[in-house]
Amino acid sequence: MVKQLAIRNLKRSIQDYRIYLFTFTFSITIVYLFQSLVNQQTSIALSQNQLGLMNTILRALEGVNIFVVIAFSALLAGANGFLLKRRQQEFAIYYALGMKQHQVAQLLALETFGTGVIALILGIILGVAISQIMILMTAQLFQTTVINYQFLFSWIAILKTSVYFLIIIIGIFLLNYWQLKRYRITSLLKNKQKTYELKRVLQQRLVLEWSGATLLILSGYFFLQSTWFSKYFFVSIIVSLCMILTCIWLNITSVKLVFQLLIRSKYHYLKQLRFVTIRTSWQQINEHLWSIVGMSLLIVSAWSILTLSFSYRHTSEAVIQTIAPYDATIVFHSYESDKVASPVDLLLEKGVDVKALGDITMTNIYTTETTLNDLLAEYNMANASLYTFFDHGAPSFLRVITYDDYVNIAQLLGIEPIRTRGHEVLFLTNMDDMLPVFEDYLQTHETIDIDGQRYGIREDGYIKLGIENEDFSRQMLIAVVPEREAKWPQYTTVLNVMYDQKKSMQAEQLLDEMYQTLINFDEKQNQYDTQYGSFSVLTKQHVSEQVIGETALVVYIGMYSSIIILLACATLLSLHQLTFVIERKSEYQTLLDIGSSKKQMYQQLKKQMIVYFIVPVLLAFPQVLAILWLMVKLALEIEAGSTMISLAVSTGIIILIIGGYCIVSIQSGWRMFMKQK
Amino acid sequence: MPIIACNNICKSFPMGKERVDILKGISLSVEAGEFVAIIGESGSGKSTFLNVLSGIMPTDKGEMVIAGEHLEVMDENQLALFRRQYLGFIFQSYNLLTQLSALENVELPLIFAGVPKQKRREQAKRMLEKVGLADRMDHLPSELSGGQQQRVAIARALVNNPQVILADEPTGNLDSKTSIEILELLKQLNSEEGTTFVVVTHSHVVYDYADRLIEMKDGLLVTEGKTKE
Amino acid sequence: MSEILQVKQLEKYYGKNGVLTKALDDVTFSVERGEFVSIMGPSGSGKTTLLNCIATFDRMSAGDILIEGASLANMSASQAETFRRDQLGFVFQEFQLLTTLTAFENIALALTIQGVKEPNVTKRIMTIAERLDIVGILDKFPSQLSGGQKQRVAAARALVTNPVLILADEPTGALDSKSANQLLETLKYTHEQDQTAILLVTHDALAASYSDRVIFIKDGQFFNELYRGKENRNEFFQRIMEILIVLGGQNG
Repeated sequence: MVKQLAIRNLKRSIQDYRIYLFTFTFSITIVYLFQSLVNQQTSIALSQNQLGLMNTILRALEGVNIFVVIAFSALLAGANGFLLKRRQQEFAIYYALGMKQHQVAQLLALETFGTGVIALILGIILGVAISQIMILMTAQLFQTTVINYQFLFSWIAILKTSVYFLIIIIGIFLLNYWQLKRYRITSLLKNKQKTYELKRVLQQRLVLEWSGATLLILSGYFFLQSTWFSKYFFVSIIVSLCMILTCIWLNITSVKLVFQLLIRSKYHYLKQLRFVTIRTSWQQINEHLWSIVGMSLLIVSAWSILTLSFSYRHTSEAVIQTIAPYDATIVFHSYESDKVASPVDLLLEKGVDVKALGDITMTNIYTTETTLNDLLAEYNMANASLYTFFDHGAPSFLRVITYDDYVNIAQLLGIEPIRTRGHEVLFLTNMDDMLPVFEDYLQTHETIDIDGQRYGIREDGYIKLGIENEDFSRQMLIAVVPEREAKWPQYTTVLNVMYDQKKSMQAEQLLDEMYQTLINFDEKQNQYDTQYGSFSVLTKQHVSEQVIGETALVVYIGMYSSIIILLACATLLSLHQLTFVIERKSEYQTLLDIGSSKKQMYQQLKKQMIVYFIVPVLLAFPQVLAILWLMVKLALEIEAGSTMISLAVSTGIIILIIGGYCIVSIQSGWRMFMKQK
Repeated sequence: MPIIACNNICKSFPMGKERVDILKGISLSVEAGEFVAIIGESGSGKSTFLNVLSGIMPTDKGEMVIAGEHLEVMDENQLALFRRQYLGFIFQSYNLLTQLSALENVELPLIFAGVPKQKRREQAKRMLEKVGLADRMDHLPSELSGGQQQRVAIARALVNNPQVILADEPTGNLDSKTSIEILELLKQLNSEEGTTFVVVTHSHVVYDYADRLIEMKDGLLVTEGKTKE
Repeated sequence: MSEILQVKQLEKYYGKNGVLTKALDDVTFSVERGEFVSIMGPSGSGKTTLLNCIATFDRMSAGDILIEGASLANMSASQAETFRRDQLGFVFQEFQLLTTLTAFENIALALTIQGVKEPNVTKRIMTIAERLDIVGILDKFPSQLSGGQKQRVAAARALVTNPVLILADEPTGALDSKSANQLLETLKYTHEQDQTAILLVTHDALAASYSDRVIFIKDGQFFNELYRGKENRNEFFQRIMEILIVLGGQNG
């Protein structure tokens, strides 16, 4: 019966291709783990806010899962197709003996589903086990603790994971079946020695290609240097993409060139079994050149994503401090511009005794009619970010506060206020991206015109200081005017609070309640609305949680996707190598027969495998550096210093995964070879 | 009517950028029950001819009629069916499935033909007895010597009672003593069952067993001669 | 010492589960320096086993083998490896060339694993290549060579290390008659030039007729021995055939 044949085949392939099964299982584990995150919510102490974030994360991960399913289908189908190719002869025998097409399909289906089901069961068991530990990691990430531990077991996660992978398994089956139909039976009748068509590439052509690619990249680099993405934004993006493609071309030619050069220098080449390693590696890489290039691209993505997600700087305290320097900010928006009632009193009526919370300042914010565009228009070039900053449809007016208010704020924060001369203004800002533009402006202006009134600009021009807690927008630009009493319309009053040490918990709780109320109500009236205006509140804690949550999101997604990519590449590399060993075993045997020692053989095998694993990684590295450089320049959420550290961490992970697979392959390969003797 | 009738068989292969003619117009007829040996140096095209004979490889030109059926007009499915019903194969490298026992290997063609289990078993056992391996039925190929493996392969080739057996260097991997044993067996089966044998080889030992020797050289049949009785 | 190889009361058993098969039973003979000796016998006679023991591919069960006075029985596995590398040369039936290396590199292998470095490697290869008439194909890969050329490259690999003993196992098995003769002529010639001893295992009387002496083995035991003496090859060939008939007679 075909069934029996399938079972025999399964047993044999599990023996020989453990790595494939291992990857299959492990990928199921990972998918299950991320699916099961839902259950972790109840076991960790999360604030309302963070729960909301968790949900965002989960929804985002769902999206990533789709991508994962696709990626995995490709990987497993590729690996499977690869293994199938090795069994060409076996299937040729079936055909020659008269096996019908539907019987082949049946055999293939049994084998594919058999493997899949085994991997699924093992993977889920492993996933359930690891998810118990995952919860600790999640708690860490959200900087909170585990309460109420219970054994985590999610039926939904199991179901979802199974469905995803059943889809993948079906896909693999179909692909293999289609592939099989294309194979010819002729491989049977003659014990054909695989003829390795060794393409001899002219060295001169290689050198030309390599130089050409390098020149293109260098010119692209200089172009980007000069424009710094401020002019011709989209052109710069396109140039970057072209550079990446050229890098690929460069990689291919570099590899070829290196090998050619190695072969030329006879003195170094003809040592021990070195030339066997070089020729064999060259052979193997050539045979799978496009896979290797593809893999190096995948590694570039994984490496970059991993590094960037680790270095996503919003976790740093400094950032939180910059955007939310105050323990809490309560903002009162008046309906009319005249001050009619004190916000403090209004709050008292609502049950919030602001003064009892700690030290407070009250700052009036006046709105001028001078727009930021007026001021910085000439610096507002065709730079996309600048554009959105300054205009988004509605003009952005310059806001001012009085010098006295500035002093109060400074004292609240415990910093020394800067003195200005009688007619000078001082700017307060928490901008980052636009700072260079603003500095350009300050370089060329000594005075500023605000609504017809001329002021001098204090030397140095600005201080980095926010006058209220903000979330990420960081678009604050305030002018401190020397007048005692400003004449402009005022719609906003900002109350900044620094908690009394002993009462900080209660204070936070009180304001959190207010915050929850405010964000949970829609346009209708809420309990904090007054006839004079409405309130909004933002505490440092809230901002911190947002930031942390966002980081968690980024880190999770980053790690998830990159680890999956790395697993994929490592598996393919292993399978390639193991297949080579099996195909070449008679040649290895010859080496032993003519007098090579087992130790020499092992060394040769080891080196050959290491070369094969290292090449895609080495090819990837310069491109990763390039991408990181680009990202640091473009997106200021990412800073150079922490990126370096993150790079070290992610490199470590890459070495761990790829190195691990390499080591296992070496062991398996050696064992396979020794067993066959 | 001859059981095999080929007419002007031509086959070429691409080698790099050129096409090389391997078979340059072969015409041959074989009577039922004959034991024919096709001999030639390596590169003469004899293996290619065998591929073409069995329908595994299509010809560029020419007719191929086996047991009255025209192979050159059949599609893949029809060819597969034809092979199963009329042909048996013996290869140089035995091509047994290493994960199955001798008995199971012999059963395989019957499984594909849809023969029920009981009958299948019996037929396979009988075949193995005929080739003298009754005591090794449950052994895996790795537990059998070269000669024994080839016997299993022969049993497998015969189990469907084919009319024609095509053999490609059947003694290529065997030492001379075993080669002779195998050839004796083939000859015996040829006379007992009346199966037609077409054996491609470069071994001189086969000559003595063949009714007819056909030499192939550079893609053409050169000589045909009856060997001594 | 003129004896390069001494086989003394060699015995080799295979066995499992209490059932022992005696592959070699008390085989004794020796080979002089520069002698060309063939070993013939029907399949199962043990001749390949004998070769494997001498080649250190297999361990003997009893007895001893001495090559240039060195006792194989007393060697450890790694000593045997070193010994094989430095003292022996091999020619196999299936050539056993590495398909990813050029002919030159295949020959170089034998030298580099001994630690020989450039420019000695190239020098020695060119010398042997001229002798075997393969200079023109050194840059080619095995897939581009004919059977005869491949076997000559294999022979070059065996010879380039100046081994004291060459072991050849059915070297003409996969060749057509023309290439086979060419190879045997080459082996004969180099053996005469360098006084390399050759031990040829074959079932082909024609190949054996090139040697100086033929030893017949049957059922793991020494059966007969023929010296060529002053005969020409054809006459020797006839005599060999006669013995073979007797040898094979009892088994049909």
